[in-house]
Amino acid sequence: MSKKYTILLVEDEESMVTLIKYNLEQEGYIFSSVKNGKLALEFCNRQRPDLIISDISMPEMDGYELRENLISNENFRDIPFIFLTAKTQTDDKFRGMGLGVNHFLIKPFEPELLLLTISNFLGNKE
Amino acid sequence: MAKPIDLIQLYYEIAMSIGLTLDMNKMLKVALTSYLKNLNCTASAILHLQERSTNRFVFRKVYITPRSIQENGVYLRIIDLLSPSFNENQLNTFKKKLPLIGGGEGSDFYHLLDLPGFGMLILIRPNGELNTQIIKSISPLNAKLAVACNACLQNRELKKAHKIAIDINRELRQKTLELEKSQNALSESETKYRTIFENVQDVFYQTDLQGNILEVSPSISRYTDNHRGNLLGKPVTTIYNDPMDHPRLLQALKEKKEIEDFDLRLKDRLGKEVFTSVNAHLVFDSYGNPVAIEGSMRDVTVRKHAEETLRESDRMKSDFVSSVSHELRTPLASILGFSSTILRDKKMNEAIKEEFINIIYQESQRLSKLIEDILNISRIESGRFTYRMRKVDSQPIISEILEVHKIQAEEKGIEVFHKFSDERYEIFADPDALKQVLSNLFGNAIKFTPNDGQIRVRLIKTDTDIILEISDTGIGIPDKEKDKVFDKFYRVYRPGLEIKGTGLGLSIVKEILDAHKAKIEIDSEENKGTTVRVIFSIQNMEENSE
Repeated sequence: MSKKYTILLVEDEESMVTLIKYNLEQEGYIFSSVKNGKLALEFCNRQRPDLIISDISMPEMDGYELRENLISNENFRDIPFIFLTAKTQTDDKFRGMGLGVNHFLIKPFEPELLLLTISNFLGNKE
Repeated sequence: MAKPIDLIQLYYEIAMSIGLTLDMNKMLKVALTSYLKNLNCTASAILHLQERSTNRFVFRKVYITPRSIQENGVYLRIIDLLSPSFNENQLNTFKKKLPLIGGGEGSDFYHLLDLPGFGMLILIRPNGELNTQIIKSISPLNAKLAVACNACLQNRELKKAHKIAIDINRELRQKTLELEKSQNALSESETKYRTIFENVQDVFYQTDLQGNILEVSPSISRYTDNHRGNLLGKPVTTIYNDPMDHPRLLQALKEKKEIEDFDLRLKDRLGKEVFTSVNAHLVFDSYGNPVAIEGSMRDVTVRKHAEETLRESDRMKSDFVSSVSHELRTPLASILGFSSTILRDKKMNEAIKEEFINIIYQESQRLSKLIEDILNISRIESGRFTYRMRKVDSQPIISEILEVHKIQAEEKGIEVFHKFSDERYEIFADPDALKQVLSNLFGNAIKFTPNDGQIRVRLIKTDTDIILEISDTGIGIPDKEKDKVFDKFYRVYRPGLEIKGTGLGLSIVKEILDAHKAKIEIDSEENKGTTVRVIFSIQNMEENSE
């Protein structure tokens, strides 16, 4: 991998953060995490990540609101965005698709599938 | 041979025979018999001059005697002569010719004599014509006969009129009777319907197309604070909750003419809505134009509320299922993710591996607890949980559960204060369910109290209640979230504070306490602490334990 990609995880479950951090760092990505949408926006304003993985249900600002904020900002609109959620209702999927979310991963998930999805997005971009 | 005519005798006899009765036939029979006898005639006829139409006059036979006259050639000739209709001029010309006398030459003689104001007298005489003198002398008698004939006619008309009057009267009485009968029936049926109208639960009403109330049954006062008297003539929107309901109803009726189960809300006395179901149809005038709406409404509020409750409970169930699915997936994601990572990464550092296995273990426990809680709450909620209620002394049970939790509290350096007297604190409860309540409440107090905090437990007996009070110096509940604490899967969130839980603990507590008819009160101030009070009524215990 010629360039090191920065990936932001927006997730309030500590064990999930640990799991994804380990897997991504093993693959050589630069990993950062925040606990809700509000903190994610703050992060983006400091440093534009190459890809965002976000939970939906979070306190303060949930995943939908985060996505809406990102879309309305020209600088962040094109950042590949993956929802990683335990929500399985069809309504949630449709709402996510309406917001131009690139991918839905449902918990529980195989970490390998997440890695594959990420490399698909970033690989395609190269 | 004809006997000679005695003029005076003749005059006297005929005069006496005229006008003896007002019955035309009887009168003429007597009079003409006298004419024939005294004038030596064999037949006679009376003709009545009638105006058939404007300026058209005809002669009609009124009386003939004897009947055989109709075979007499002379008579038939005269009748032929008189059969056409005459106009006034022709009639006057003809009348000037009277008396007209003819015949003879082998046949009978005829005499056409004027009956002034009435018509004509025909006399048939076989043996020579009457002489002029006789004709002249009987002329006044003819006039008298004419008067008598007219009198008879008038009498006949009068009788006819009388008969008609009698008939009309009879018919009138008949009709009056029928009318009275139907009126009685009507008033009977009206009374009957009025009684129904006044006593039914349903409301019957009629409005014009503009929505003004024409009629409404008194039962309306069961639905709204208006009574029939002050509603008549008022717009129906006085009682409709939504003013648009009238046009909506009218539109529906224009499409279908008759509608059933139309949802319509009324305003109740206290502004509360009354749901009604309306059946209505249009009323038409005799030209087929719609003039009014007639309908009945039934209070279906109870049914509506039941449906609402059912829908709400359906929605809650589906929400619960989706929440459960979400909550189960979260620890499962850790378990699957970490175990899969360990299995795949053969070169994993031992310390990291142990950390991950530890997480898997904790998440498995969390999952197990979650499943237990979910099973508990669904068992309680579905009513399949059987409470074994009895009179128990609550104090030893509280002490027992508190002891178990003291270990956890000590780990966080939390001090637990409690002082129970030797008194018995009897309540009516299922001991196992009570233990579950206590465990959840003590668990919460410890979970939400930071290290080195304090928890105080008191048991209070008042005249009416036994109160368990648990106060902590924990993080508290934000004001805006206080009404959510009993919601399933609700968890207090505080940035920087990771508190594990299922979000089901207080839901379970509430369910169990509801089944015990016990109350729970929560006082809380953010960052200061929370006080939970569980209140068992002594009266309730006494009622149940009897």
